[in-house]
Amino acid sequence: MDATRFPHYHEHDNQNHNTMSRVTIDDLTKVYDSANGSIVAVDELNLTIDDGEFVVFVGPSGCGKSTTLRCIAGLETVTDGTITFGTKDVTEQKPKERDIAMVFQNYALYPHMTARENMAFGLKMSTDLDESEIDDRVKDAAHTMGIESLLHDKPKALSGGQQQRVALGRAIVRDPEVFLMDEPLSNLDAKLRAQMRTELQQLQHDLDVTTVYVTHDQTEAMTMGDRIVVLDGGELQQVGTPLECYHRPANQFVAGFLGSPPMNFLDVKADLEDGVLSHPGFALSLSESVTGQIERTELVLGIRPEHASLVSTPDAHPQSDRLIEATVTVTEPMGDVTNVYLDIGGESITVTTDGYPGVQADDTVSLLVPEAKIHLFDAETGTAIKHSDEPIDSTATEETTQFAETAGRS
Amino acid sequence: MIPDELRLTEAGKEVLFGLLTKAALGCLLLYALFPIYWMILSSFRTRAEITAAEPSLLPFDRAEFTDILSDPTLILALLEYENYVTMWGRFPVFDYFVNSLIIATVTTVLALAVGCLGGYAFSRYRFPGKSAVGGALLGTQMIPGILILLPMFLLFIWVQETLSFPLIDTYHGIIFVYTTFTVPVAVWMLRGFFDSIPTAVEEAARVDGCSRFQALVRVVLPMAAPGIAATGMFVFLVAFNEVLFASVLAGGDVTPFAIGIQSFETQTTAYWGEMMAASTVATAPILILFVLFQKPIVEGLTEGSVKQ
Repeated sequence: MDATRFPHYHEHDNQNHNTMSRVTIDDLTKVYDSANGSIVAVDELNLTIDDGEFVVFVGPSGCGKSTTLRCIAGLETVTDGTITFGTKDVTEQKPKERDIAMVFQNYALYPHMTARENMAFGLKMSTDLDESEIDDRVKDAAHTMGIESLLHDKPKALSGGQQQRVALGRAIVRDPEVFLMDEPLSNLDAKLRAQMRTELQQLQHDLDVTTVYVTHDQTEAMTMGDRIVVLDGGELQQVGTPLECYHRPANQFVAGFLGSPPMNFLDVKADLEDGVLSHPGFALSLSESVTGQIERTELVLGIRPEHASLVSTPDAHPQSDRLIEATVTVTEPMGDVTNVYLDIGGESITVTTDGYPGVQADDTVSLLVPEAKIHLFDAETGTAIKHSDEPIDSTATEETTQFAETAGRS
Repeated sequence: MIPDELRLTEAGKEVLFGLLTKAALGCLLLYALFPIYWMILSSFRTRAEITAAEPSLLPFDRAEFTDILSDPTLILALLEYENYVTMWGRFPVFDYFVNSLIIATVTTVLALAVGCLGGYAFSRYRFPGKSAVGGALLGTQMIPGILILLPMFLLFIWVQETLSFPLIDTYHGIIFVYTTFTVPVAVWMLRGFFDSIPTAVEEAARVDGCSRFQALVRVVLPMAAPGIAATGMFVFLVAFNEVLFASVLAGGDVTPFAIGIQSFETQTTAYWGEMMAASTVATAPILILFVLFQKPIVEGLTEGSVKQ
């Protein structure tokens, strides 16, 4: 998409979209009263979303991400706290006064209207544009979404993917201050979802409209947003770029939520005098720089599956004293990589190797867990104590030493 | 013990169950349709045929059937039309029918207007006393009409005398009575239909610039059209068919059809044939109307609104 294809949006950009659409959430609290007492859906959430930024709310079901989005939309009343668009406090405003557009999980198209009428409806209700101007804008938006030929169809005549495009078209035609998207891709099949994911990113980039996107899918969270907001139990867990949250998780919840297969966790005890992490299945020595950061002895060791590696020649390995013996339980060939599931002292560990790991079930293997890559969390609070040293700038180049040695590669 | 070869297979059981179901439904259908058949049949009969000691179940005898088989146009010649001609002159049948239409139509419009707003409120809002009010609405349906007939009559008299506002034998009087009966049912039926409409569609409309009322009118009501049509049909039928209250509260110029046709039974004679002819004429337009309305009801209008 370029400016000539989509003139209205860029005109509008220049007039209004400078800092106008920064979304500020202050101490947002939402409590639902039910027969069984009150439920805190969102607990004192603070967040600033910059103008034009693409922010993804991610978390498990019931974490408060959708509720927060609906509060921003004005579809839920706020129990406490404020929501500001630019300098305008919108906390008490009705949805129609907020200049927002929303895409719903089930698309929520108007079934009795054609695609064109669906897209024109918002402009008809909220602007004083005349018929021909509305028609021009609907055509532009339809062109952007590639649905010109569907404009005369009613939703029931459209496929799921087409309905989704109409729903997106209905949102972009409004040229809103803020886009709100509530799991818009979760009803699409896997292939279409991957395609729409990149298309949506491109669209958001071109329109440069502040976007809040809610998903429970960590792939969408990692790939789409400028920043991701990880929520759990109504509480903010971490805000950061996808790579920050992935490599520098603030706590064990974030570490375990992002990544597939998820990060491995092992309960360990730290012996600070000897500088050793001990587990029933192994003992790992730690360097002084790491032990210096540790204050408690009850810890959780975290290691991402791609950062642990299998060693084919343990005796010749330079760090042979750091190798852990383990038994292979299952191998899961994915084609490009293989997930190898290991048993260490009764606990399961996943290691992602290349496509041909050269091991099979019941093999005994040696596992290398590099100290630089391990994460340590406080066992009681889950707070992160040590992170892996992976770079979090997405333009960084991988150092050669970071390639994990994998059994069978030679 | 049943020998194995006589035992039914699973498929056999299914076929047998299907046949039994169809037979049972057939009996019910026959039971429901026979009076209508008898009404139409009697409307084409002479007085002597109707009052015969052993009336024939069929419209024609054997010889007539043979003739009709060779020349189907004979049906028209063999039917007795006289009732359809004479009924108009004896009593103001047409006026009765128009009265019924006016009363039933206005009742339907009022009950739907109140029912839509009430049903929507019950479906979408939480308010104190919601379940109590809902239960009370349903409770009104458990009181036999005859119990409130007399109080209603006295109330009408009282209003008429103290406020000089005529209610008995007026359109608005009987429409008021029918509306009070049908609103609770309309609210409950429509509440169910509104419950089945996803809230997201309405929320989309509110984000698109609608107030809640606009979202209701422009999005929810069109989506509930099949439900509204079904509820409307129900209310219309209740108002069209009601006899008890109409017999006391709606006489004179506003006499509805259900009361009017009773005049065919006079103190000295009963004009059965004409009564049946008038009934047939009054039933036909309603039947046609309902056949036309069936399509939007059966065809789910909400299809395609949200991805399931």
